[in-house]
Amino acid sequence: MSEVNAPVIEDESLRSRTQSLFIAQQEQAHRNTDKLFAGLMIFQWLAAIITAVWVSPRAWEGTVSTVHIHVWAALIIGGAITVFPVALALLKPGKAITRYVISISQMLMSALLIHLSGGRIETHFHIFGSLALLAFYRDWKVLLTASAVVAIDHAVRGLFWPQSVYGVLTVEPWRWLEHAGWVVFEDFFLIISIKQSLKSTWDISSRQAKLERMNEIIEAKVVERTAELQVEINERKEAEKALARSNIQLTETYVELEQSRDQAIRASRFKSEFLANMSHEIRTPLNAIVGLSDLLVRTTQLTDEQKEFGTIINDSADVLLNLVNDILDYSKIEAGKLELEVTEFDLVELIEGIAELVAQKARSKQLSLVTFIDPTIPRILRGDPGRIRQVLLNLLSNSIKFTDRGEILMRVELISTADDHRVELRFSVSDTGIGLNDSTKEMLFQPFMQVDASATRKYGGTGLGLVISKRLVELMGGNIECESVYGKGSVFGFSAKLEIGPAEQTPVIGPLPDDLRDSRILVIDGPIGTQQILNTYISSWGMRCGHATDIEKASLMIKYESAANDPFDLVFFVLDPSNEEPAEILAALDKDLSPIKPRLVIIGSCADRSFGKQVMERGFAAYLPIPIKQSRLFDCLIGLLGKHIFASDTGENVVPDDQITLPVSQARNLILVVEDNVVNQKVALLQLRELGFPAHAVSNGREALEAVARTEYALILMDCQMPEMDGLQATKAIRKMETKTGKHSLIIAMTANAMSSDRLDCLAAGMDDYMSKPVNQKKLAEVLQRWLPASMQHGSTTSVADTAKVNSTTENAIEIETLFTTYGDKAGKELLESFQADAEHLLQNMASAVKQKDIFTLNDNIHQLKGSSASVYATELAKLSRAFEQAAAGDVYNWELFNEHLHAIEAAFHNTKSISQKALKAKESKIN
Amino acid sequence: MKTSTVVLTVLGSLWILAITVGMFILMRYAHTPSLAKTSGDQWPSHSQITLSKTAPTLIMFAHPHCACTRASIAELGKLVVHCKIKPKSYVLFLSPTSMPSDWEKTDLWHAANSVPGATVLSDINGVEAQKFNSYTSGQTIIYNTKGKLIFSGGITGARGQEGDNLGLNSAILSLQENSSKNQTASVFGCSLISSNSK
Repeated sequence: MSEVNAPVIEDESLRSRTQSLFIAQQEQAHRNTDKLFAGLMIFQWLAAIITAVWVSPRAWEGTVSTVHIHVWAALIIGGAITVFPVALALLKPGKAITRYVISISQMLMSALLIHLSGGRIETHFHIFGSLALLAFYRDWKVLLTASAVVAIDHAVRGLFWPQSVYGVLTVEPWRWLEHAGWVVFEDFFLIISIKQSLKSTWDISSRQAKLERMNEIIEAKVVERTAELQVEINERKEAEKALARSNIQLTETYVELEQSRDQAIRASRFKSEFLANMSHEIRTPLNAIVGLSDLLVRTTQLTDEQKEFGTIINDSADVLLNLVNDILDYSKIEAGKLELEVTEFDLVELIEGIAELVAQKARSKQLSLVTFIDPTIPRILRGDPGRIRQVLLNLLSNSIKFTDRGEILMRVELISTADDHRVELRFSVSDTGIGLNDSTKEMLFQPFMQVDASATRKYGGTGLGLVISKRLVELMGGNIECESVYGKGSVFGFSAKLEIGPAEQTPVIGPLPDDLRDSRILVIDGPIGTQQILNTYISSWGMRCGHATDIEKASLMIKYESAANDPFDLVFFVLDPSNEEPAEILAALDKDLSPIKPRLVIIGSCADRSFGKQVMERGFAAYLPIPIKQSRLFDCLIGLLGKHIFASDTGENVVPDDQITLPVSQARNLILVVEDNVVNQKVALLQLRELGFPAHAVSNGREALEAVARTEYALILMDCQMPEMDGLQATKAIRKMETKTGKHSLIIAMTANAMSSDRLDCLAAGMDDYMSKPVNQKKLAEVLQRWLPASMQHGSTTSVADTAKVNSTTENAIEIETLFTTYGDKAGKELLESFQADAEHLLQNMASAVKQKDIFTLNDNIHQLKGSSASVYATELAKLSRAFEQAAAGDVYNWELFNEHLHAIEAAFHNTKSISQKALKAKESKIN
Repeated sequence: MKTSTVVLTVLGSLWILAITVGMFILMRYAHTPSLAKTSGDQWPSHSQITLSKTAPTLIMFAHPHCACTRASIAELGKLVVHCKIKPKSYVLFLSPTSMPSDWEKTDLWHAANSVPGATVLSDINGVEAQKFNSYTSGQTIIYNTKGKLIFSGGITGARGQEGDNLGLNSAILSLQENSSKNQTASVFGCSLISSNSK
């Protein structure tokens, strides 16, 4: 831009842009100034008109006037001056012609105004003001144009009408130059100002161009970054979409998993219910088998063999029960709900009891079954004997199953004793069976796996036993392992950590009397395992044990040692179970060892149960069946070496089992049996009778409620699953009734539902304890002992038979036949006797209470009499007692009336007693 | 050359021309003197105004509504101020009886009153003007003490224009020299009488 003295911009594009901006700014200034002048000129025009109208509105001739020429001049000439530039300003704003015309017209307008104002000097300032305004165009040419108009005007008017311009009559011809000079003088400053303004505009344009350049760069960056961000946003959106898809898939998967879980839970529940139902259905008949076989053995007159058979039935039922438990256990294990019990147990009893259970089976296969318990192990331990038994029975069962000849040895050895009063034991079962190869070992502990399909057909079994055993052992903190040589046999063993029980409760085998110490024992023949065990046991009791491999050597040893004054005190001959001719062996022994026959004990596992009798008949000292029990062996030693009479002919009864007996109870110990199964009901009543407890039986919960409302029971044995009203509902109803009376009946669940949840359900319903079926007498006795007060278990049996007189004529004071039908003859008789004693005592108390006007004692005794009368079907007495109780329950105590009630009750009691005596005598004579 | 340029050039030229013509007419009007007659050489005896015996007597006849007369009154003021010999001055405003009362009392009346030594009077129906043979507003006549006309004419250079002019210079000169020579000048102003009366 030539008019602008601005620094040179080297950048062509920047310079070009600066110039564009500059021109644009100029154009904008021109447009704005055009608009300004358009308005100004219109204003000037109007001002000229107003001025003319104001100053010289009219021209006069005397009294006549016309419009003054100045008004017309202002209107027409002023309009001519104004219209054209204003039109250009509106039609061609910013154009050069517009501003030049404006500059000319503005100067003309000055001339007109000066003229109209009468040439006033003040009006001349319009010219200078207009020039200043024209400078707004920032175009010096505009100023020059305007100045030229001024100069021409002055020149022309100076020439023709100088006074109108200069105010004087005579002027020099170049006077206009003076006026023009003043205008130029102003133009000079205005042009300087224009130059500066243009420079500023140029600078602003330059800065704006640079700013635009910067903006372009920034915008380019922004666009670039935006594009990048867009890519990122697109990627993020894609990722979000992918995430959303994943979420949907996850949600679907979650829903499917929930459905699967729900199905699994339902399936598990169905399975558990099925197992529980199955367990219940199996346990119900098993209960009868266990209970009746137990009673059969214990309470009836049987031969030894019959007792043994009964015992085996009982034990087998237990085994069957264990099988049921296996299935339940597997289910519990799979569900992770199996819980171990911690209870005290006798290790020796446990192990030997296990051996007893499978002994018959071993004998039937002519296998030698031997147990060995390390004598250093404390006998009383704390743990879960049931689970140990379960594992060992499984292992033994397998060993017997897969062993055709030889020996099965069950050992318990001490691994370590910890400081925390715990021992780690190793249980093992070794056999001489078919053994396992390496490939089949791996399959052993897989569920439902057996060595091969033919094994299943040949040996049976479900394949669950070892799996359950493995899990049980792991729960007990141990590991199960298997060592086996194909064709030679296997050893299955596991370790378990158990707490040591109280030392004072530990039964002790031994010690031997001093005179028996150092006795010499000779063991002849037999499997190696049996020999070792005998040797270990005998040595542990302080005796000396020798060994001979056959009868011939034994004979020589006996003779030799006798000659050496150190004879064998006792000789054990271990009869090989596989020997098919045991009678010949006995004959050989009879012949070769005849001198020591009274001290020769035969140990064997002959399947023929009459073999023991044969042994004794041949004059041998004793017969000990395999498996050898520690206690039996010890007793045998004591008996023979100590010259005691060894009474048993089989040895199996050398140490008879403890009989669990309880004293005969009184009538107030009445127990209610709630059981829908008739057989089980009968079993429970018989068991209770044997334990000395009178009992009622009802068939469902509804009847139980009625019975409880009618009679006070010391304890209620409640089955759970019953028709009409089950045991849980009945218990809840009883507890609800008791909230009014404040009493609490003992309720013991007796159910075939063996799941742990069933136990919780029973306790939640308000029961006090829980027994799973089958319930044997021992278990029942334990529960009764636990819950019933000692006074009830050891009640008085004092007879009151001769204290009453029969003075009543009422024959139906007691339903004697119903009593005996309900309780049986024996229990009924005992109950009746107990009732008589009790009632008499209660009557005495009542008489004393009436005498002393002690309403509380009276009420208590009436209530007891009412209950006990009802329990023995002494209906009249019960009725009178109830009436008395109601009379005594009122707010007014009429002691005379009470006395009358008392006399009536005493009379009824004597009548009842008389009838009872007769009935009892009749029963006794019938029994005898 | 573009058509629009040509059109603009033509329009611009016509515009300039029109304005020039207009301005010329306006200038011409401004500098064209009104009809003026020379007053009698001797003071009319039947004038109601008394001739001063001690100083020249100056009478300006004015139309109270003539815009051009403003400049004449202004010039009268200069004349009175600048002359050493102060004339006895009168400003007579036309006061037709046909017009409302105080018709003549305009701003010009008040301006004339402000001229030092000037007596402002109403000229009823222009009787005095006629006596002095004056028919244009702004016409000024000066008589010496002897009643001889020494100046007659306008004291402005153009219509309504103040400033140095030939009439004013002549009036001043006639007063200064107190001569008996009759000076005349063009009169620029409205007519004191209507056309019908002429």
